[in-house]
Amino acid sequence: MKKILPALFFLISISAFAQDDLLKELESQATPKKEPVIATFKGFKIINIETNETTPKGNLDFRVGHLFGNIFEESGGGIHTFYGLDQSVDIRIAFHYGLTSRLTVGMAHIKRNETFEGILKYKLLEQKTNGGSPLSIALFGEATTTIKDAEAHPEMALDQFEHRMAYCTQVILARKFGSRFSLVVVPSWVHRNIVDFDQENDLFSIGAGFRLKITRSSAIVADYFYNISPTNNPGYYHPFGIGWEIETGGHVFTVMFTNSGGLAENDFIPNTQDSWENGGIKLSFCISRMFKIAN
Amino acid sequence: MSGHATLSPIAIGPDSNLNGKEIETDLQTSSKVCIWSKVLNFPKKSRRFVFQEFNMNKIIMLLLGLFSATAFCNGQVYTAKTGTASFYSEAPMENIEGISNSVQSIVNTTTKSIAFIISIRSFQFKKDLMQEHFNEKYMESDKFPNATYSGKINEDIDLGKDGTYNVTSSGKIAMHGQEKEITVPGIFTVKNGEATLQTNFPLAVADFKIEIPQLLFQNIADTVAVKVNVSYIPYKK
Repeated sequence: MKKILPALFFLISISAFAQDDLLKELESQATPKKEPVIATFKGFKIINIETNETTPKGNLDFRVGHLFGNIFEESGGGIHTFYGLDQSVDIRIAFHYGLTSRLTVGMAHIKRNETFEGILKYKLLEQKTNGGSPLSIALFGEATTTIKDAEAHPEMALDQFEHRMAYCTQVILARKFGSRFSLVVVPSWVHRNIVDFDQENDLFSIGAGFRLKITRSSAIVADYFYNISPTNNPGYYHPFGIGWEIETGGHVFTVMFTNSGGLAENDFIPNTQDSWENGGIKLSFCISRMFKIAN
Repeated sequence: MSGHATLSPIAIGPDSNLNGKEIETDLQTSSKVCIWSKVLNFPKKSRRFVFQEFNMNKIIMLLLGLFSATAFCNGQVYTAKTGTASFYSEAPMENIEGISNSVQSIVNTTTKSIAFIISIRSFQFKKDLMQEHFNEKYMESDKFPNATYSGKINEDIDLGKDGTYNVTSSGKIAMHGQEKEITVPGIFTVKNGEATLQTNFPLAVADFKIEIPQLLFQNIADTVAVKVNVSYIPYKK
């Protein structure tokens, strides 16, 4: 026995490096890396809600968002506005730039209330594979100001500059489940420096949205904001949108139906006055084009 | 286990015909007990000896010793110190190039076997979106994280001796869940004891079921040019 065993081992060791085993040897050496989960969402926003995605470093994201008028007659739509297509409730033209792979800055002009918008988004934590973080977390900040003429709009009390400002702060929690489904939950705080006497300066709300990939380049997307604060006087509603997202190299095109009243967080969270029940649904689209302009 | 017969009521019964059997089984049982008691009462020294003969640690040591003696320390197995792989696709709209700096490889010059493994996620592109699309849409790297090659070198090489060896290797390339038999050319260069391998070959994306959406058709060619460069060092476990 004592002599047979070593002989056996000798044979094993010689045969151990057959062709396939070389590959197995390599595979056993390769420790699974914690890789960041990619493509949780295909852009900065789903429809209205922010995602955990930032603009890649050195990339400029040119975004045009358009919100048509209400489709149904009960809410002022119908055939004479060609189901809202003759109206444009809101237009947002924005440039987002990836300062680093984690920090994005952006500027936009928004039609409603002659608004200028500045945004910041910072990727705090990335979801990773192989036992890494189960969540992606990002922080989002928005500040808006209006350039409306104070004298022409005395009802808005715009004589002081502070009164023109409004802010939104969000914590974005996102997770991709498998390769097709991503979910985002966004606790959100909107602060408006001046509001109508019956409204609150601070609004707390929680938003949620998902992306369900249905083909290789398209997905069903939806988002919703629920206002927690007792801000929802009669006549204000929770914005909900559902749409279709198509992605081609460098472009993301989203077309959706939503009742939201605007395109900026500071606007559609507090100011949505149309509801799905009353036919206050609008067609909306967003086009995003990414340009790589620096390394 | 005939010993159990003693416990059965029949065996204890008064029938004399069965008594003979009872005695027999009794004897067997006692003899068995005897053997076990012998084992249990083994002198301490010899018990330890029995134990040592089947000491797993020793066997493993022996096994490892033999492994290293025969397969590893004779300098005929080499592993990649550094390795790069790239692919290039010329297209009317946009040339596409991906580069990976984490190629792992192992070559055994005795058995003439060679293997490569490249993590798909390690490929870097000029454009971040291109990289995302490459992983998400084309290679599906969450499902198929690696590209591998495992094959035989058809010529004799000696990486311990300076020289240039033009070789071919036949084997299996696997990626995106597909396998393909290929033969590729390569050049081993040994200079001042440093061995490097260079290889260039074309790959048809359709062979690996990598689908290109029609909209992007102009973006990517049907065949991509693959380049792999590896420098080898003797393998140490």
